[in-house]
Amino acid sequence: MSLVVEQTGMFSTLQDRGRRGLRDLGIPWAGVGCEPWMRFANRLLDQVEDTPVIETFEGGLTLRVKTEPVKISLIGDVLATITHSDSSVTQANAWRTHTLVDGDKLTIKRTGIYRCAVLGVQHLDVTPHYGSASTYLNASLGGLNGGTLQIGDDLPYAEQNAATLGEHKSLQPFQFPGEKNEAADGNLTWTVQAVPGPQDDAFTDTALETFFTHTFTVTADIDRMGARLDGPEIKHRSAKHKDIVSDAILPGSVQVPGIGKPIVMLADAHTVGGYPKIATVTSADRALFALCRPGTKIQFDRVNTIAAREHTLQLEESVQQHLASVSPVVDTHLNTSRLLGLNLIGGVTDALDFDS
Amino acid sequence: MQSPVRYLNAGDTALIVEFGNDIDKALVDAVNALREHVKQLHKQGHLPGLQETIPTFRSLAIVIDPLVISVDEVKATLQNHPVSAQQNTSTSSNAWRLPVCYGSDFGPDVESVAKATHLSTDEVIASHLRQTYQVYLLGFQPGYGFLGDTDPRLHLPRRTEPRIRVPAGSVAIAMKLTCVYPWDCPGGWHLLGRCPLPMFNAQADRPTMLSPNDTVTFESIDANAFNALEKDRINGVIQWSSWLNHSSP
Repeated sequence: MSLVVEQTGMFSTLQDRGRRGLRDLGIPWAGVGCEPWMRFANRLLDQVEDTPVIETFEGGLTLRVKTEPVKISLIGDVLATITHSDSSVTQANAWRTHTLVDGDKLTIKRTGIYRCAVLGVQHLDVTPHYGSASTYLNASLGGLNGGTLQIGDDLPYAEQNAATLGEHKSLQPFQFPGEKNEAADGNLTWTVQAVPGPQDDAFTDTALETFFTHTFTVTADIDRMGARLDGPEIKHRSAKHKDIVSDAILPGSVQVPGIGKPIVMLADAHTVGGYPKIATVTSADRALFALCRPGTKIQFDRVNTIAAREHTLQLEESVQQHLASVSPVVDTHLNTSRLLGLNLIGGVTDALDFDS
Repeated sequence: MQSPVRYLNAGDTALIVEFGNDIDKALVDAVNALREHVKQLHKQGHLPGLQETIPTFRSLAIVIDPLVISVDEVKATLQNHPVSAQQNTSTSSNAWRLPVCYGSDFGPDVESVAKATHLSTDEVIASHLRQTYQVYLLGFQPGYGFLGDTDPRLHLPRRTEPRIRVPAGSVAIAMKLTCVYPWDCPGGWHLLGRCPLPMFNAQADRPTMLSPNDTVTFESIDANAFNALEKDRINGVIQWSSWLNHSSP
């Protein structure tokens, strides 16, 4: 029993919380870009919060159920459909679970206002690699074979709990504090809290002022490793401040290379680098860079380490509250009695019967 | 000589303890001493929420879980429990010997290095072989070790024209450092030879051969020995442990 990849979408990988503790060997964390989304996806399925999920960028991913039914969850601003074996199509809403049966095809058509979506799979059965199933392409770590999902890949899952297969759960969409998804001119401006440093002293006072008062636009040059931003030039104190003897890089580090345009480093960020880092995005706000589309404007709010941590603790509290708000949904499409009627769960199953 | 330690902020997830702004063995040793110290403090329960530490040439990044501890608490703990002078830094490090086939196609820059350093090609190779190197840090790519110091006569800036593709295994020098490229990648260092051993193996218990603070010596092999070892590597039968340099009896 597995989900078979029929279409890969633009970029789809398996991710969990990431592969921690190996940065001293030059190995990045990887991991899901928007960690709260992974937790929501798994909580909806009543499973451990860092069970691996599928992170998919933009639309196009299609998965087909092979043999046994499976419960999945969708998180994001997703437009998704389920095509059944009789060619009928139903819409699959996000922020809830769905049950897919043999032959059903789930397609993520669009990821809406966000760049990515997260798909949870109940009892997804992936072997961790150095403590994590997170895919890191550059060293072929994690995932199925260390790579992106490929057509024909089989995502195996363990047997589902038949008694709850027809029961579904949902959540309200979660909004991050920095997200403001309404803009008169169509250009969203999101607010991100950042602490100056570690190399804020490599920049002029004016540059620091500019960084925290102007907005920067997310360019098309954005991936799991980092996001290049465009905006007013951030000037280094002098030519010799444009490069430093290599220092640690972490997800959230904002590097400024010689051309003066910031790069926010993300989950796949390499571990050391020689560009000075003007600021570090709070861990709470890193997730926003996994979600924002090119064109989004970013306003960096200057905070100290105490306020940064307070911000992270507050986000954690909101996420916990949101996790606790999971509630059952009354499903008109596939409830337990319908599944029983289809002879898919419980009682005597007659495969031939189902095939006809 | 050493400038005072600076505590630098890296958001709510890390504190950077900076020892200087140079590539210098004394700084690396100070970084490693602090790293060992932080591990001990964690064991003693002083640093709950410690996730990992990342040593670099100039600094130690102390990564924490902000839900458990604040960077300001980490700073206070370090100030209340300073590193003792006799801190042992080399308890767990490995000593490796790495076979290298120097020159010809394996090390196409031996001659240009000889020219730039006013040495003969044999002297370039001999001086690269003579040193025992310390792994100053790993980074840039998984398993990519920056080793130092090279013989001062071999100190050169990076090539003015970086190569689009440097083959994996290439042994190269730049500045006061040497390295073995674990992967095919672009690179601007001067290529002296090639090592047939894998520097990264995603099937091994630990994926990289080198760890920070290990020591490395190189030994010269001929093309036949290189080809035999390369065959072993392709067949996946190379055991890193056979290349540990056991001290002579």
